[in-house]
Amino acid sequence: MMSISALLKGIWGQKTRTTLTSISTICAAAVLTCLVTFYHASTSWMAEEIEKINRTTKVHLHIMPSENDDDRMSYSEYETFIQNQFKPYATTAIKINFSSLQFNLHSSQNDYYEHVTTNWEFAKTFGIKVDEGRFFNKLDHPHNHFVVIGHQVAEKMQAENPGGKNDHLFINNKQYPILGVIQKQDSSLFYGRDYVNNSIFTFLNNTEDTRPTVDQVIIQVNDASDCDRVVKQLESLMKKNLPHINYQIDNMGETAANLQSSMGKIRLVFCILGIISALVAGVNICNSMYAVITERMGEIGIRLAIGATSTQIKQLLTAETSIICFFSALIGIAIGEVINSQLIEQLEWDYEWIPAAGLLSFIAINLISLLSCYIPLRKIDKINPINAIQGSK
Amino acid sequence: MSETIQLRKIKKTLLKNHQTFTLLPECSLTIHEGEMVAITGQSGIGKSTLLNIIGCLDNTTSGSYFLNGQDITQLTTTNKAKLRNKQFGFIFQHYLLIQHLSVLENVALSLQYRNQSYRSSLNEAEKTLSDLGLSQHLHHRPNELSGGQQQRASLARAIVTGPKILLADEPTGALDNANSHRMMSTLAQINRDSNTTTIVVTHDLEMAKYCHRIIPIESTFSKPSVVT
Repeated sequence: MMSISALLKGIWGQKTRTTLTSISTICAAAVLTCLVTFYHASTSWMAEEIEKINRTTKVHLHIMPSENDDDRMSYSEYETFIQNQFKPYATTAIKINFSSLQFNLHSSQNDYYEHVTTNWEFAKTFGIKVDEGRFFNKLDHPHNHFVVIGHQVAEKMQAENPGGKNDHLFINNKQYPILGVIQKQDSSLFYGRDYVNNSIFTFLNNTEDTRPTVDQVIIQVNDASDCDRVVKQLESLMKKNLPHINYQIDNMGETAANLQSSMGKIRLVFCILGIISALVAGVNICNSMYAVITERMGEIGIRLAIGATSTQIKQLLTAETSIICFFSALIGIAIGEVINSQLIEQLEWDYEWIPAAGLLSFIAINLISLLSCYIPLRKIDKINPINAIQGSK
Repeated sequence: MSETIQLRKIKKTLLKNHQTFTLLPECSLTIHEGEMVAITGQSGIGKSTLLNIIGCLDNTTSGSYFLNGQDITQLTTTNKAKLRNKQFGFIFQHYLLIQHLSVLENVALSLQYRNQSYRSSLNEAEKTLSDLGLSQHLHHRPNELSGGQQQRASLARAIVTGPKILLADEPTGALDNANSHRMMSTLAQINRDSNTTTIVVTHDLEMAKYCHRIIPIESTFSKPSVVT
């Protein structure tokens, strides 16, 4: 029967060993907790992103800028060669530039805003909702010049002209009635371009006099698995009908697949880091235990001489190490959680306390401590009491 | 009186660097139950080795050892440890108390290794220590006691389990004359009162006189022989 006070005296009597074992255990527990929680946070974030991409998977055709008008895609070419070929999908054409915008004619201040000219399918493709009014449709063509403004533009307009009648906007000194305000959007839906809330939208038409060009074509596919087929079809159409145009295709389905594969790599890296930290802790505990056996050889000899079996001595030393590791693991887990919460906050992810992470680290550390003790403790079986006593003198 | 310890042609040698050193020359010995025996001889002759073999702390190179008719040389390490705990009490020249435990805990330790509860082992240890006049020093560390007190604590640890055989290796070796006589008379009293077989190793013939019988070990070994 071992008493707690005798165990604590044994631990206290070996301050160097206790300190070294505690430090290595605290570090390993903190690292393991960090890894598990960070892995959970990062993979949750990535899974959310993948889910978003899959929900609104798109293929983007970017037309490279060119000085020569013939090297650019006209809206009518878009309608003829692309839009008609992808009928089942929501397909939209976009032209992006920056326009001088006035909130009222009396204001002398001109601001440059992102000006997106697009067709009515834009809203459908991106799932954009309009607070009031409507987005463009074919009835607006060719003479109805309306604008739809982003949420932030509307707020700024209200601030510039409080209480006034805010139903017109002046783009390059030309008056446009406001057809609607776009509801505040989740910018991550657009993957890094927070332009929708801060943009103005006008109608992209194919009248002969303006001959607008298209900067981007977006095809929203129904399923991520359709992406590759759509990309191939798009490349084939471009090669056949518009070979003079320089373009680039972004496949969001591929992005989702890349993210998915990154998740696997991250898992592997985290597992390797976890194993390394556990091994380092294990080796340290093992080393400390060898030192303890050497340092306490005389005591072990005395205990054997007065009738302790080697199993009883092994139990004593294991219990001492387990007590150290038990409390060190708790401290390490707390430190790991604090580090993690700060780190996740810096990355602007959602910090979530995961009890399983702490529990997993706790179990792992205590198992490692037991396993690490096992090898050096086997030495006790071979100790001759008299040699141990004489060797310690 | 029955034969408690029977040693037949016991010998202990050590092989080192292709040389065989004799640690204990071949000897045979019989000790009866309740006997108090002194093993004497000059330093390095093998007295302590003989005592360690009797106490199952060391192994023999050859010969046989019967304890109450049981062949000890055939026992496993664990069984020897259990036997030490049940049958023997040890007193060492340098006391060999565990320094980070109190005197009380040191004495209670051998009871705890008999799976006795912590509380009852402390109670028994306290009683034994009080009988030996150490009631004031129960919670002291061994290094806070004098040599005589440490040796009495060591004696308390040896007798607390009520051993059948008490082995004392130079119990007076580190004590002054008065404490040496006190220790020997205590051992003699324990031997008388509880019929404990007592074996004392000493080179001091004056101390050996407390025993019923003196067994001298003669210097019979040769120089180390070379193994080819």
